[in-house]
Amino acid sequence: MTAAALRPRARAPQWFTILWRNKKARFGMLLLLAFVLLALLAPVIAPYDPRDRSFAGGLPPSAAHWFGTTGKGYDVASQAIFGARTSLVIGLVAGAIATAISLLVGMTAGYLGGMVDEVLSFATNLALVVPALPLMITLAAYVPGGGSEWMVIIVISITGWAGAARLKRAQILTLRNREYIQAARMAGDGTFHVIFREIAPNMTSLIVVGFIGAVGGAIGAEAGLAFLGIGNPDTISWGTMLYWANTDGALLTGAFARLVVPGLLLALLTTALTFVNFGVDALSNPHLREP
Amino acid sequence: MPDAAPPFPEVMAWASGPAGSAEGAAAPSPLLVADGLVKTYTRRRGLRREEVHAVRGVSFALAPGRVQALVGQSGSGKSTVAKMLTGTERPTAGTVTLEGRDVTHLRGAELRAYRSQVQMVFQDPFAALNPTKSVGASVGRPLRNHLGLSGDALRERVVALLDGVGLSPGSLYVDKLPHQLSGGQRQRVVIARALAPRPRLLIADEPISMLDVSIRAEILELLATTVQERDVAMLYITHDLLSARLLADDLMVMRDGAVVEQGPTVRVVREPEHAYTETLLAAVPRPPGVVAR
Repeated sequence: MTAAALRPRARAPQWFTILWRNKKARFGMLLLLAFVLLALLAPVIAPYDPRDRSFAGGLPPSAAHWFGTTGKGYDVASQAIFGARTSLVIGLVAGAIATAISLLVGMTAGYLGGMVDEVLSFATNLALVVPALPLMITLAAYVPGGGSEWMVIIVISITGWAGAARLKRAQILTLRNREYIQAARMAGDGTFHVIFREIAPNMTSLIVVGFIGAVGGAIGAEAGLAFLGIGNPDTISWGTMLYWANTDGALLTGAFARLVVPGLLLALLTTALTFVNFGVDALSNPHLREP
Repeated sequence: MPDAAPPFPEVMAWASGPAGSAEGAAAPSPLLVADGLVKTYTRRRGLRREEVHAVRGVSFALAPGRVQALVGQSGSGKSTVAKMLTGTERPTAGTVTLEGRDVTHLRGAELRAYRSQVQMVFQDPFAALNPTKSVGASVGRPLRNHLGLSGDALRERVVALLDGVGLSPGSLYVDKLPHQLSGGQRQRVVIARALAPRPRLLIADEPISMLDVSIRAEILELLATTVQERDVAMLYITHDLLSARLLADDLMVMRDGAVVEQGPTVRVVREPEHAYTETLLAAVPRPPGVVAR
């Protein structure tokens, strides 16, 4: 007790313990881990190269082709396994960029107030009222380098930050006048320290929940754009699988696996993210922590 | 000493020092002088602008080792006075001087340096500690910022400070989070944090009003011994005349932003000059059978 009490606590494992104790979060993290492993080990797990089109087109599910083949002769299972990479990478990167924008805009507007707040809030509201899907389609069609993954990431990030920015602004407005913030100023802390070390830890759940939500949204948006045929239809992703299934008339030919597999994977990945979010609340609310 | 029986003799025992010596001792030279402080807020109500006079010309002096009480009801401007002393609010008019130096309009690094001299004990010990930071982290910040301590030296000072406010052994409390402490323990942490940069002036803004009645006397006693042992000046803000009577050497009564009565506690309590002070005195609960004052 004495020796341990004199040493500063190790911070990193603590949040993990808190998350792990929550059964829903544990389920979500395990499911998410399964997807990450699927993406990382795709070349090992997948039975074929996802670009190998040497098979007969439109084969039904069998031992050789678990979910059959596409009309062009690709293996559906291999495509689904490699598709996890696209969804995870685009989801994480676009979610991170959208969260960073919302943090910067929301925190600055809320903490500084006044004219800065007016301008940033106007921009946020403008971004909120513009319908996201038509904007995404327009941007995707006109932004140079159309079809590349980076273009998709940028389009998703700049259409997805506004709601989160408003939430963060509202939260910081309630936090910035707390007595402990005044106490921190009395203790000699500067503005940067106050925002990111005193206020932000009390918003952990909001920030992390926002980030995970943004990742889920970005995964959905990527699949949606790909399904609509915007972006590069040669990318291997769950969205393009759905796109090709649709154009090949998979429903008419009874190749349900081509629709169900990518659709179910998308739903499961989003579910995993949602379950992780359940546990995050306990992080910023110490009252929920006690075992 | 021609003092009548105090309301609560056992509580008064420790407090008799400051209250009794109030008239005898010559007032030491002041540490901080507030001169004619005025604070006027402008608020918009519809299209009209409306001026709210929170503080209208308040002057007083605070001396080391003495407690000045500031008594008044809610909205009388007490807390605004405190904010002007700490540099959180800027006075509309008037000056604050610390040992002859004008500190009314400090900014940046100068304001920070000034704040190491002037610290606050807050009203609500549940709101005054960051719920995500350990006791050690909260008490350590002013040591790090104002005194430049770090590492083991910092930790030793934190433990010593916690010991000093009755949280002993301090090493047991360093890693606790605020929600693991009681209200009284939290207020002790708040006091330890305020004492950390070795301030010369403590501003206690209703430090006992949110606490359980059973621990109020302990916190008052801690504040009284702090003032005596460390020779700091204290501005004790309260709406409760009884605690002011127990703790303070001097007392001033505020109403609607102005001071209506000012003087040594014993004199103000025994011979109030203003009708409002008499009203406040009449509001002090007196158990039947105890001789008044």
